[in-house]
Amino acid sequence: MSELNKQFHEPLLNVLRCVADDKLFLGHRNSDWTGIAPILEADIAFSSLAQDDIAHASAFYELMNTISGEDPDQIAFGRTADAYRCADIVTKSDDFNWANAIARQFYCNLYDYHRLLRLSNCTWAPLATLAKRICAEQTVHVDHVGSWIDHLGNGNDDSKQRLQTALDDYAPYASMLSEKPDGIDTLFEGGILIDEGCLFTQWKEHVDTVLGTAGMKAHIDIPSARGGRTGNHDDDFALSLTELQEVFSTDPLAAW
Amino acid sequence: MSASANVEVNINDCAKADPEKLAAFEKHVAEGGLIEPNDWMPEAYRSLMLRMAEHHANSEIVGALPEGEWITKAPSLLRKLALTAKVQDEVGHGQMLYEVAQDLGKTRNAMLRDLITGVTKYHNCFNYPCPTWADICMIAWLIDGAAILNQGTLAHGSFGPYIRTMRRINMEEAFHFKHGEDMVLTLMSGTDKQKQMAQEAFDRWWDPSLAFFGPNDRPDERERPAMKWRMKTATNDELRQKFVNRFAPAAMATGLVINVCKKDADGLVVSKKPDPLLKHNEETGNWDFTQPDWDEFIKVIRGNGPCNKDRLALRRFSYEQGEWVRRAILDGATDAPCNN
Repeated sequence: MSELNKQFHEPLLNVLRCVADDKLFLGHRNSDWTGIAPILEADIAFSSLAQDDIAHASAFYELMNTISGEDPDQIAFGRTADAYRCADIVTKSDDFNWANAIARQFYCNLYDYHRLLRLSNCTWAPLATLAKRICAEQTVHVDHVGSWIDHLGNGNDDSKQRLQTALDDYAPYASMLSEKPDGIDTLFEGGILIDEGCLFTQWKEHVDTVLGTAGMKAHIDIPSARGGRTGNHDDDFALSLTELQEVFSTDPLAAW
Repeated sequence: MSASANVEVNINDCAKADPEKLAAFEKHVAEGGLIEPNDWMPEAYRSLMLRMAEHHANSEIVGALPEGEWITKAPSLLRKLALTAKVQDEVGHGQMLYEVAQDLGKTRNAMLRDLITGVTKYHNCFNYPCPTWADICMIAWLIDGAAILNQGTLAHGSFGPYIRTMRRINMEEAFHFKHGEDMVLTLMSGTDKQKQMAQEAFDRWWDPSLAFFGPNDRPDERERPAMKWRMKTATNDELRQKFVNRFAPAAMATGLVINVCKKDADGLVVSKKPDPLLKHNEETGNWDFTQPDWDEFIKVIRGNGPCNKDRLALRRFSYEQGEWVRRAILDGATDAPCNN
């Protein structure tokens, strides 16, 4: 690996955990739709996005492996609930309601895009390189989910109402995406990451712009509570984790 | 993942066709010519081809369901990615095949509605249970392996759009088979528990794999429309024998035992014994084997298998939960071809 001072290892691992766990569980939940989405073409597209997210998570776990030496599958599958750092919106159940899935995808995809843009400016080259590559793919996610906001928001009265309800329901969970990861200030102070101002504000402006074109609104506030980023998760996360680990945990050391 | 040409058609419909056109059509097909959607064809050919393509498309999207349920439980990052991609492929195959069928005169929405109301069928092999991860490995290895053998012959058929689609699908099925083979080899090289899990899943899937190719041939098989018009180019029994010749030695090489099993109503094995007929027959060059339980096959195909109701219920749920989305996007035109 490129030289990274040991004092930054744990702070950077924690930031990477947040990014990778968000991606892993968003892809995990979106893959629920593989085979049963409302339209075959949407099914195929959503599967691609789920694969992208799981592959992105995998790439981040591999990067973590270069720092910690820990096996990527063990990082992804082998932790206790309180060691995962995803925001709970990624595992918030969509109850097989397409509007919910789109609202969840919308908030998460836009947040990921802006977060990846910032990680692309990381002074530790391996992370900057990876973030730049993934960010290019993330723009496809942003465009795709934007087209769904357009289709449903500018669709019929029923779809407008369903989408707005979903956006409202997921807004409190969306705000928790911007809960600050422990250790990020150390990385700013050490010059590993560049503090480029408020990520929440940048993301929120993008959210409002896209929704505005479809006549939709989102009421998102800066998070005041501490949740997923500190390992404090809700029941939907627990269900997702149990499912993720069901086969793996029958023999965590076996090759599958 | 699967195709079956075991749909029936009334050959007497040809009596209504112009004899000169029919003769020219049959000569063209017999000489290896292709039929395109706008070419003249006997109504019986159109009807049979539509039913084949529709049945195949239905099988792809219903086949996505048992495997789809295991994506979230896949035990490694690699397996999770591969399984999502595989199931996505199956849905993509369904999408392509519905387009082939649409060209023969039925809208996708009508086909999806007929599927969930039980008017049309899908492949029987998806009515069996997948209680463990090893079942997913066996489906990808055995069922996709069977599909490759079957579809390899269908790719030499007479309907242009269908054979072109088959060729494309078969390339992807080859990856699915490799993925299945790799998963089975991993389990059979693993712990005792993994090997046991693989053997138990193999016991559940060997019979459905043999039955995959459909019932035993009739004496007049080659004179029936599907073969006469080159929609099928090999009989069910020929394909089944090819399958056993390939998979019996391959399974035994991994350490799997080929058993004859009795199952309960849930499709789970209650007793088993090694197949007493299984041996390589030096005279014929083929592997001898015990035929699948055809009584059970008939029961399952009539809708009374372990999972028929669950599979259809999930397809119906999928169709109904997506109706509002299709209405919003298609402005109510839910019967428009290619768009729903």
